[in-house]
Amino acid sequence: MERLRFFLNDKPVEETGLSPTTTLLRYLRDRVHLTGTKEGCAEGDCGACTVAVLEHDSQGAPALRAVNSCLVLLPMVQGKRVYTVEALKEGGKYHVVQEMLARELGSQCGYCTPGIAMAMLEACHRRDMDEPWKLDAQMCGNLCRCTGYRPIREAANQVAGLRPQDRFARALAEARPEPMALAYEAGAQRFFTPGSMDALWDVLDKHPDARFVMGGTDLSLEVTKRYAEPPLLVSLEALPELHVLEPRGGGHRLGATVWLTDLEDYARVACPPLERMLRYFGSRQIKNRATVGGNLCTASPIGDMAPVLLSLGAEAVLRSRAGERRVPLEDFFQGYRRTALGRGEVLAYVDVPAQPEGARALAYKVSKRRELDISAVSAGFRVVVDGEGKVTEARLAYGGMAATPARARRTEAALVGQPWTEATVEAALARLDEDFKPLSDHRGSAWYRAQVAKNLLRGFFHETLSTPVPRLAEGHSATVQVR
Amino acid sequence: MQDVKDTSDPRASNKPGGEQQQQQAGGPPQPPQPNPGPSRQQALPYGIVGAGLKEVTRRVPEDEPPPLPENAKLKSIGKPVSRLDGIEKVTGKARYTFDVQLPGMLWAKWVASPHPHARIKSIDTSAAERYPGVRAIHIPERILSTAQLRDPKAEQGNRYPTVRYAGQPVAAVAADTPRAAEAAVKLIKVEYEPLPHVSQLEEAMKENAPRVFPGPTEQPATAGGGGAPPGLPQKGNVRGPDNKPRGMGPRGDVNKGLSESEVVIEAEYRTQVQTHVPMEPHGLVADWKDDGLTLYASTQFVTSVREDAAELFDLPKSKVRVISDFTGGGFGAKYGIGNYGLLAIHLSRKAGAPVRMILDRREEHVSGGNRPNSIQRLKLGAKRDGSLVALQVQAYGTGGVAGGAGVGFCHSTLYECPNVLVEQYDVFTNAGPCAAFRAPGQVQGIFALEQTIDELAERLKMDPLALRGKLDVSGTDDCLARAQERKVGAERAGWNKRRPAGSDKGPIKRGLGFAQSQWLYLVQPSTACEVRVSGDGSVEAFSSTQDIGTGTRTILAQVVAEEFGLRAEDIGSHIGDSRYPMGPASGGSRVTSSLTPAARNAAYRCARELAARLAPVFKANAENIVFADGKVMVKGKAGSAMPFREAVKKAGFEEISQRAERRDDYEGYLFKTPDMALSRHGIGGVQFAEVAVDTETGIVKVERVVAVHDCGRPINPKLTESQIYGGVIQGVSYALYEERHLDAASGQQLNANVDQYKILGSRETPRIEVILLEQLGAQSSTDARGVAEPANVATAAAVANAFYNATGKRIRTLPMTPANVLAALRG
Ligand SMILES: Cc1cc2nc3c(=O)[nH]c(=O)nc-3n(C[C@H](O)[C@H](O)[C@H](O)COP(=O)(O)OP(=O)(O)OC[C@H]3O[C@@H](n4cnc5c(N)ncnc54)[C@H](O)[C@@H]3O)c2cc1C
Ligand code: FES
Ligand code: FES
Repeated sequence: MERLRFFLNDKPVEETGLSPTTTLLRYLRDRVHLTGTKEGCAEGDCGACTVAVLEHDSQGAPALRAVNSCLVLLPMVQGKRVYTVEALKEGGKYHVVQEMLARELGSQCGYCTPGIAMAMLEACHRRDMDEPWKLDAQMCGNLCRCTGYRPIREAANQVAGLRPQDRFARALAEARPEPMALAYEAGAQRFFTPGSMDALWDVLDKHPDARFVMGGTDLSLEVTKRYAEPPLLVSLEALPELHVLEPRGGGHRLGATVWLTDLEDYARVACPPLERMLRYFGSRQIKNRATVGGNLCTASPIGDMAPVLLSLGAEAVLRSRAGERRVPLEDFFQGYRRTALGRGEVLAYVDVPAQPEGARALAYKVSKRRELDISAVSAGFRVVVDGEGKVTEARLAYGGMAATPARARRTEAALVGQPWTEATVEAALARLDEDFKPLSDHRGSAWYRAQVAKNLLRGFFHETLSTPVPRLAEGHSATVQVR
Repeated sequence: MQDVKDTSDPRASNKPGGEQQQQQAGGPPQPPQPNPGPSRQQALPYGIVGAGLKEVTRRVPEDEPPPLPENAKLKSIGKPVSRLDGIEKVTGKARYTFDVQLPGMLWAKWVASPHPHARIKSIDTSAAERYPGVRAIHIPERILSTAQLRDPKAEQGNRYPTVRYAGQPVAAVAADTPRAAEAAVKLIKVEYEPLPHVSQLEEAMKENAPRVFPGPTEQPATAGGGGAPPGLPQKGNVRGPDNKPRGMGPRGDVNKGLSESEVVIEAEYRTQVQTHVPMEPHGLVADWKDDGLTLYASTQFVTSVREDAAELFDLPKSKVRVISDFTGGGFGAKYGIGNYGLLAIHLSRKAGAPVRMILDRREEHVSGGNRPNSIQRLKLGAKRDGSLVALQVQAYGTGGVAGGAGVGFCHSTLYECPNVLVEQYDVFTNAGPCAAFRAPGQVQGIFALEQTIDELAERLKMDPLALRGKLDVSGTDDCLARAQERKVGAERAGWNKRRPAGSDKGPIKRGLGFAQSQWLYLVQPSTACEVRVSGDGSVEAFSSTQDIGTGTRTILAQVVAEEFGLRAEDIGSHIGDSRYPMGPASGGSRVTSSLTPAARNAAYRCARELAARLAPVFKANAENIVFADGKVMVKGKAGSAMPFREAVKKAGFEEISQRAERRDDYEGYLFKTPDMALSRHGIGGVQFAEVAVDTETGIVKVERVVAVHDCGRPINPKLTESQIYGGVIQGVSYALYEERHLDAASGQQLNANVDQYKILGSRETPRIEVILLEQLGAQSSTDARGVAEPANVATAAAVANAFYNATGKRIRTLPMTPANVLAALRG
């Protein structure tokens, strides 16, 4: 039987006998008594538990990534280098992140501070901290009830992109992070990380009921909140075939296991509507673990990737030992939290086709809070307008309006063949009430959802008048930019 | 008034609080004579620095240190010294109660009632007892933090405490590991007899609503922000009216006043239940040993933890030690031992091992305290010239199973008005208990009052600032501060560029709004501090007070350093241990106002004694020994200077020590108990908010807040500023996001997490500009007052007034969620 092995603050660690659903946070605090890492929520929402993990980005290059240790299960860091706040001070010298936080008065009660320091550490070693919004995005996964954030932002601003010659720089230069295969067992629980597709099929042949896990940002909540102890988990993290992100036939192939941070980077130029959605998706820590596949496979009605991908005409590519099949995304979602995945089948890729000439496309997310919040309503729109100004095709996809992410077919039909004008939009909007009967919950009443869903399409019309596929404006930081 | 005592404290009811005293006396209390004993007449600087500093002469105790000049003339006090424990916090070394891990420590977890209202018929713990790793089980015989039946006989014969809210602890387990405790808790079988319940405010007010308590209740006049005097009438779940909020009012004849008014403004305001969400939840580690009980507590008041434990376990205080190195936020909710502490101590006693009982996020939301909601009906009558004639307020609010929903202090006191009647009611519901929360009552009250005043200004076509200038005329220090604050704030905020309401044509509408803050100036008279100088030149200060993030360690060191001519970093600043002299509660913005005069007096005496010991070394008179810039010298003889440590070593003593207590304010108080004294002066503050309202999605963004505040003498402007930032973001958070959702059918909280219970994040944080006054009130040896609460009072109201200026519509319901906003715009 294999052991759990990883590096903790540069020291090799080996463990056996621990439940594979032990979270990294509990391990750090309760097992090795590194209590600098705090717990504030145990569900990824506060950032108090942030640690840094040396990962590889989608191009295979090493990168230091801040993650929520409360959502990371121990086998997920197999072979990786994990750093906690205790690693910052080196040889009696405080890290620049610590110095700045202390100098700028980044703490009041200080309970959030270690997590903030670790989120700042990622910023400190990023090579792309060239725009102010990136700092917003970097720090938005950390809640602080006391300080008012401004001193924290000030401190973060000063260290962002500094890349000092510290132990982390050395590790980044030396380490060749590669996901490691693992077959681990403790008590009645097992955790497999197959290293090849064949190994995956072998596991699935033996255990057709195995549950997949990738980032665990959805699945771990069952462990931390519902105290579930899933008997068998299969991680897809060590399958290079699925970890791809590349242009393909004028469109894009998004590997199911690609982290959203990498996808967001890629989408900046390649696919602006996707970037728009990702900017307001979870937090940096969440996006450093969450994947496209995980997001679609939860088939949540408020999953943010679905509407935008639906509107772009994406297809899901499913693989099993028997081979590959392609399913239009609208058929992938079969009901409330149900997908078209069969037994022994994984979601391998999402293919986004080339966008037709004359396409206008944009995505929206409306939530109570702009950052780290689940959508009340989300939407992805793509409307193709021909040379005469007539709509030839419309794909209007919504999240939060029905049991699955879904297209507004009647509204779409009312647009097609009509001139792309405000009047057409207004007339078509009357049909939206036939498309959806949204529910009321604490994120929004049915009335509110219906109202906003309409306003979003109105906003879309105006926003794409002059630029068919607008990018997020420089320094722009509102969820919804209307006009 | 005493917003800081544990609401459950059974003793508090026979310990008269301010209102009670007044109640019994039947009329305004006789202000006690301050500082009896030998005295001298002392000239003191008085006023706002930079805006006309005067001199006043007041009677001060004979041995009071000489008055301090303004901050610019000081070396340590008033300087932006960095937080002394900042480095401990950024390294992860700072030990919170959450981090305490003692040898052999057990992990505790409680069984929470799934029912909001039930009688417990039986509890079977046998399966849990057999579970491997379980070391103790305890069933509480009483529940703390709730109102108490006036006549406990109503529930006599019940074997277990009645469950009155979903999430109330029913039993608790201590086990070797957290997992074992979690598993064992599930094995405890509880047989409930569910009773009808009511969790929504207006439902609970109905005559035939299920009764939360079978009879009238008392909540010691200490609960979350006002409590209520004893003996109020209670009908069903509704207790009141209390027409003397914090002892103030009523006056005149409102009906007559209203009939004589030329303009009457009438409106209803609603605010939500807000939970505290300290990043470190409530918790305690109890270590019961034969020779004494040690408690590690996440608390705002070390003393209250010791008092509760001693009282409830019948121990002498000498056997109870409370340690609180660091507390991860509290905001009003962390007083006393709470149910978690009660259980931890019982379990520790039974198991003979230390027990850690810390709430998880859900338990924290449900049972850790909250700010009551409110429905406030205001009727304001005025003359055409803007002067107020009458103000009538009816306010209902629920603090769940605890009282303390009063909001009427500002209505009764902020503005000049001859006829005032406030009637405030506590409505009990089957929901977790409220607790004091950063400016209890005032945040809700000001939201309604300041919008009403704004509406009056609009109606009379008066400038809202000018109208406040006309009405805010009590002449107290806070009133004088606000006048200056309006002036400098208006300039900074660009008030003269403010446009008429609803000026923007597009879907995004911008506006600027203003509101005033008002908070009480409180002192804890029982505060003491000890200062020691060791023979090697070390200087240390001791107080049992705690640091919940305000920077108490740092300001204590700064004040002591000033007397010795040292830097704050040179002072050993020891707090958070009940073995030190009694320190103040971190609540009611009273730490700085209570602790620093005591600390300065102790340091002053100690420095004088040190001077006497050094006199022979320097061959000079003690009066001529001065401490400055880390050196000791003879006055006027720079050549005699010797480094502090070196000089002290030459004096050849082991240790000298002095202790001082908090003297009364020189002018005295409105009333005073050992726990708390209330000045007639308050703390002011004004805020300006700029908002952008997206009328298509209903999303409100607060873009900028100009916060102008006073806190007497700021001991550390950087820490003060930090408090103000914090107050503003909590205010914005309250205004825009926070709201506890209880499911009416099950009584369960639907958003007991930080995923759905949203607090403000960094991306939403507005630009915050702080302007801080230095106001010398000539009241104590440091003249410091607090700021934590005032900074939180005006924000929501300023945002709401800005919303009106942006859209031309009033938003009278909080929070301003997209849905509430679209509804307000439609209506
Ligand atoms: C704090 C927080 C914030 C969040 N914010 C957002 C947000 O803004 N928007 C949003 O949409 N979601 C959000 N989420 C939800 C979640 O992060 C996303 O759904 C994420 O994309 C899931 O990816 P994952 O890799 O972590 O999934 P996992 O948790 O690893 O897996 C989720 C599910 O998908 C299955 N699965 C994963 N990969 C595959 C595959 N390749 N083939 C078949 N099945 C698979 C798993 O079996 C599991 O059932 C948030 C979550 C948290 C905790
Ligand atoms: S503990 Fe809150 S994000 Fe992990
Ligand atoms: S400093 Fe208290 S939570 Fe950030």
